[in-house]
Amino acid sequence: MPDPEVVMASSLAEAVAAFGDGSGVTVIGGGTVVTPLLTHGALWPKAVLMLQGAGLAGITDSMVDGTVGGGTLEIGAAATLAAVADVAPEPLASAARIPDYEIRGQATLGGNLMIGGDLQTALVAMGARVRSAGAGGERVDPVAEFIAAPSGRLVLSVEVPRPRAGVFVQQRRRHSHTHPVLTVAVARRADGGVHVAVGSLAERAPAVACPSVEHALAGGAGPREAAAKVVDDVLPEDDPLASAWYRRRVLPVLVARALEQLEPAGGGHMNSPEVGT
Amino acid sequence: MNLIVNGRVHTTAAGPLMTLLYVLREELGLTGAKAGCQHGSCGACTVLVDGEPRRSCLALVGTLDGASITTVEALGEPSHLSDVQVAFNEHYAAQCGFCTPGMLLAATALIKRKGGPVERDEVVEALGGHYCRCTGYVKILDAVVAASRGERLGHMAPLTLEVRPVEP
Repeated sequence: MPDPEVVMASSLAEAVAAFGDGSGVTVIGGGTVVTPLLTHGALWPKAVLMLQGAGLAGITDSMVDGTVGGGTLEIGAAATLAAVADVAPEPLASAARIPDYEIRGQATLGGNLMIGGDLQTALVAMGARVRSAGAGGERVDPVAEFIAAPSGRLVLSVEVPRPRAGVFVQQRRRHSHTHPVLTVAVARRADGGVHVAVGSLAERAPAVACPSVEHALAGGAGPREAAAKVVDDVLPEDDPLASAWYRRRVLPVLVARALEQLEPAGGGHMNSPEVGT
Repeated sequence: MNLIVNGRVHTTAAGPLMTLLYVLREELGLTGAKAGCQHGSCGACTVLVDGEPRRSCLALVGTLDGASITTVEALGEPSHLSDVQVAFNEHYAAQCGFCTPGMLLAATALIKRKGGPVERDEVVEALGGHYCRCTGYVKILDAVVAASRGERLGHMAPLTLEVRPVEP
């Protein structure tokens, strides 16, 4: 087989042109997922697009006065998870604090979105929007829609509206390199509404919003009562990490825990404990 | 593609999709970075890239033009160990030694980052991606904390290993 054609993009325009409609192109941001596939011969791409020099790692914060809630963070697709964890509000900061130090410093936001990573859950709860390129040109989509069908798109950046408060809770083993068993993100958005998302429901399954829980909360239900509704919003599956039965049992507990930690509107306290197994 | 490896410029013949681990071990004969799991999980291939610990098995040559690489070979020598190496020796923090180069480099970077004594939980966090199958970790944590405080037990005989530089 011929060697892959490798483009090391030195600008956004070059990256977008090399990506085209995405067919046959393997994109490398940090390379933490793709590199082992190349090394072990599990992937022999026709064309490779490397984003490191494309200027996609910037983070812009529209809010400078330090108020909690309001303003938008625009995070470039090639920003590392370490950089995201440093600047992002909860629940995104805790979601980005994946194990371990070295991987966090190399893995990127765009890559995490494309592989069904932990950040999806936080971004869905926060109502983020994804700017991407591909067939038909540039597009901005709500993150929940984007991650449901991400193929053929090159993530350029993610717009993250800053919530008033947020909590990220996950069920995972410390420092394990597997996906978490479950992730839960809750965010009280700038308009005061509480939004809930869950992820890791199955191997590589996209994170989903939980309208039944949100509806119950808006109707005045307490955290536990509202959290119980989460089973109406999800279709957990069996995978090597956990069974669907286990996920259905644990999820309401995690959602309740996240909601209980979310401060009332206007509160600035953010907390995100790690749940042991 | 040029890399600066342990202070020397190296022009690599490897393509952009080869790993830094390959360049170090196969081109340069620097075998301190270990080829363990080769998918980023075990930490044994960790080196410093521009001062930050990185998995050399996940670092593609195409992303490293002009980068400065430090491997365990440049950390100290048998006759003049670095502080972290002394602490590992004094605290019996190495047994089989396979994970030790990665541990040493990650710990060295942590202490430099913090600029002073580090707490035990900071070491746990910083070394969380490094697997050791021998020591049970306790002695490694002891060693890194001691090194960060500049503590020396001074009870070990000086190392008398013969230095045999590897020809690149």
